[in-house]
Amino acid sequence: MSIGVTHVLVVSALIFGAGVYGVLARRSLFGVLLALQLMLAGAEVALVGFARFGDASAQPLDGMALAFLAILAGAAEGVVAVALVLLAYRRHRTVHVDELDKLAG
Amino acid sequence: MYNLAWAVVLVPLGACFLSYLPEVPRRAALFCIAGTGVSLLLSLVLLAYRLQHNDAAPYQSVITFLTFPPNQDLGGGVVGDFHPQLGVRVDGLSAVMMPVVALISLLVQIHSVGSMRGDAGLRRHYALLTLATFAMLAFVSSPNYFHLYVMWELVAVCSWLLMGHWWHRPEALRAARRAFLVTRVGDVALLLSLVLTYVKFSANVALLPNPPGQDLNDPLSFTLLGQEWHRGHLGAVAGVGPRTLVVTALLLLLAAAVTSAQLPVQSWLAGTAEAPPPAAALIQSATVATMGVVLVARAYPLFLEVPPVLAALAVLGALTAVAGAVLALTHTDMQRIIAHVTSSHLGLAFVGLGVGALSAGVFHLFTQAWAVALLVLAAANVARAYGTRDIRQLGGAWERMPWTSRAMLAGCASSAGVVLLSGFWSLDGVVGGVLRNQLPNGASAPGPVQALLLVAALAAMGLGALALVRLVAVAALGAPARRRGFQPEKVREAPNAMRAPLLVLAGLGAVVGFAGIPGIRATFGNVIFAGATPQHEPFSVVALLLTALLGTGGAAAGWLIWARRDPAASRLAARVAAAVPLGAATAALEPLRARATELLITRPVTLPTLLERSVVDPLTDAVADGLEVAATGARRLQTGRLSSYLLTAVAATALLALGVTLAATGHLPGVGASR
Amino acid sequence: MSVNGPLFYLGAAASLAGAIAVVTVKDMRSAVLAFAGFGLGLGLLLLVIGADLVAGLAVLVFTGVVPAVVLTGMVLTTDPAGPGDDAEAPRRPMLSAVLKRWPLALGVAAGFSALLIGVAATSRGDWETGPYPSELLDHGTTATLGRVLLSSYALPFEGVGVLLLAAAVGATVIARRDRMERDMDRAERERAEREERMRRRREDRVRAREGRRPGDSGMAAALPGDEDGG
Repeated sequence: MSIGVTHVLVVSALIFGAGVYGVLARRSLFGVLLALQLMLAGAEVALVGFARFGDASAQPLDGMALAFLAILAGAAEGVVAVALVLLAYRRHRTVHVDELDKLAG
Repeated sequence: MYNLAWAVVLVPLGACFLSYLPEVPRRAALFCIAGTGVSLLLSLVLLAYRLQHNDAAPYQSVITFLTFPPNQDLGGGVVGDFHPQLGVRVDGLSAVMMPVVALISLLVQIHSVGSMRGDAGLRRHYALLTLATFAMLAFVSSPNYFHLYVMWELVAVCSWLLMGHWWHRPEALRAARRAFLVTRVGDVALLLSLVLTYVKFSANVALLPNPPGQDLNDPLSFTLLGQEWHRGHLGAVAGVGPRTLVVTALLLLLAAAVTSAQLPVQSWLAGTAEAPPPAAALIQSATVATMGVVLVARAYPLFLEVPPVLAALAVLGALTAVAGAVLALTHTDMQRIIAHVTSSHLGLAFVGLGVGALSAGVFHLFTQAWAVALLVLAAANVARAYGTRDIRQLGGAWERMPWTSRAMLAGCASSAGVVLLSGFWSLDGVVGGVLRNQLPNGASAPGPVQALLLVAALAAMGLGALALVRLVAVAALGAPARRRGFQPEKVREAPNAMRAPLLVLAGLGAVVGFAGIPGIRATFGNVIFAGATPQHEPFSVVALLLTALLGTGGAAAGWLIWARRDPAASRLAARVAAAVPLGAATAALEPLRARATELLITRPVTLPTLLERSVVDPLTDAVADGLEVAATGARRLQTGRLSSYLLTAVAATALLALGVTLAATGHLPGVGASR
Repeated sequence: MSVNGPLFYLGAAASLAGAIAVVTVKDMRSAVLAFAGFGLGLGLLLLVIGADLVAGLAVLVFTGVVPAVVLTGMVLTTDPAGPGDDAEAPRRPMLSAVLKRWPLALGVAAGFSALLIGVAATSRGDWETGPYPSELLDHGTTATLGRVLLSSYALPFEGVGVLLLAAAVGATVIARRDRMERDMDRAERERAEREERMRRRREDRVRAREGRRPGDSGMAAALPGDEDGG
């Protein structure tokens, strides 16, 4: 069977699902961060798949353009997130997700 | 020019609201006094104007508050065109009564400056006084039944609040509540009569042409009802027969009797003894107690169609007059004596109304207003100085409080009917009316009834005079009883603010009577009259003589018994009292009556409270508790932990995505694209 | 032109293996390495699909930028007195450490994935597909994508550039110790130094009292109860 858009979408869904699991199950903030990047990557794969297999007559490769920009934005977000983790560490001396419990009023 | 009536009615209301603006309660009092004064001035101007244009038709101006689409059937066959209208009506009755109410209210408020000084609820007191003034002014100038009912209720509420001013005293609370509940019976009667009138007459009124300047006909307006009642009596209105008129009149009679403290519910008025004296004065003389008389006067065209009801009213009034006078003789509390005297005089006013002498009856109300207010305020002054209201412990006020006691004497004399004072002329008018016994439309009470009325009226006059003189004599003369902590030398005359109103009232009481001398032109009878034209009641010498005899004679007898302490007179009085144990019997009956009132009226009325406590309160408590449990449970979501918040966010997003997917593919009923 | 089947599956397997490794391994450093591996796999996958430029960027970012930054952060957040750099172990015993969280997380993740896969599967025949221009396949998509980025999407492109600048500056600002923290750190350091000095002085005094030579460890004299003379 030739590779179609469905295959790409399945792969993207699985990567995204792995990312979701990581966000919920990881106990370190960095782990959550990496899992978040995974979720973003999954979405980007889906975008590229649609650009490749979709109708390319009207706007060629706009899905890839969006994926391109999304990866960049994800990188920026990762950098800022690490800075925030550093700040939280300095305040609370921990990066354990369960020990950060000051969010309640 | 007639639109000044709006200002007269509304200025006290504005003063009531404005009284909450100043920081200092004393300045609030000034606001209220100023407002009432302005209202008084305007009402006097209005009176003068009306006297000039006396033969013009009554002026009415209304505001319609709600308008339903015409001919809308609201079920039950009643055409839906009830338009609540409030407004003013300027005719003889309202033009005369408005200055009375305004002036008494003003004097009462001036008295309050002295007597309520330092009271914690001063602002509330003044606000309520002005509110009651507004309500009463609106009541006497009401153009239709609905407005009258609304203001009736407002006056009753104000009087309840005023009577319970010192709410931390249980006696005051009890008295206020009893007064309120007892008069509610009258309210129900009034409401029933209102509904009955509307139901019976509205369909017919809708067919009449509209009056000029108004776009709808108010079926409850007095002008219209005056004609409609007559036509109903003649059988010209569908569905209305003599029975309707009788029932309506009886309901109105009940309402008037209850409010004006007639037999058997007269003791609620005595409860005003617990109120602050200025409020008590206002209630007795100008507001609540007089509402009944004004109601009958307003609905007089109806009563004229059913003479038997008028006769019943007169008989009731006469019996009350006698009973009130007797009770006044037996009581020892100053304010209670005055309250019983008031109800007795209101009974006499009803007698006047009942025999067709509308102007005499209203005139009696007019003169008694001054006298009663004067008496209440003077008694308050004395009670304040002596620290007690019991006349057995009073004495010596004649020397120590000269102004107050002399004013009190003037008030008593006027009320008793001593010759040439105002009470004399009004009582003469009532007696003359009884003697003449002719309604404007020609009917008259049967002979035995007339005889009963005459005897009762004269007896009431005599006994009332006795009671009043007893009040003054025992209170003012002699020496005060020795009591613990009471120093007679410390008793001093009341301060200016409490003295001045007394003097004004005494002067008015003496002078005003001349406006009602029958037979003289431009008198009271020209302004307030029954029927279409004023009746010039002839000068009745017999009535004059009888009144003079009993009024002055009674006063003299009282003076002999209590002031001079003439032994012969006292022995005679004692023998009479022993022979006719009326006093003791009535005095014994009174606690019985109080108990009956309590059982029949107060207890059943508190049933809804039980209902509320047993059903409504647990229900609301359950709702509140349920909310609290839910909130406590929901609070557990707030762990503050990052991990749980992440979980919640992602799970919610997942559910949202599921929902959107289902909706977009049409699997959710009613949402999104169809399949 | 169609996509190369075996290579596609290889790239998919590599990226999925990397993704699963990232979210399951206990050691954080290994997780970062796994993430780098995921990046490589993702690059292969995208390349096979035909997105050259995107693949290159993905490799750059996912294998280069993100692991580097995360590793830097991990280095800076290791507790000097704590149990190494095992940031997974909580400081104090808490319920979540006892209660396993992964079943719930697995459920949610599986549900989410199932939803997405289900949508993809059920709408298999409804996607709007079209022929992929052959010149793109032959010469690669880089030129076209570059032209698209700089013409149609010039504004977002520049905007992302500004975003990167803002992120860099902002991260620096956030991660910088502010004045209060610097003062607190300085105070803490001074306090530690003071304590250290006092401790040494006390030891010297004790040693001098007992007549021992300076430098002797004198551990026995440091017991409680001997300090009342000092």
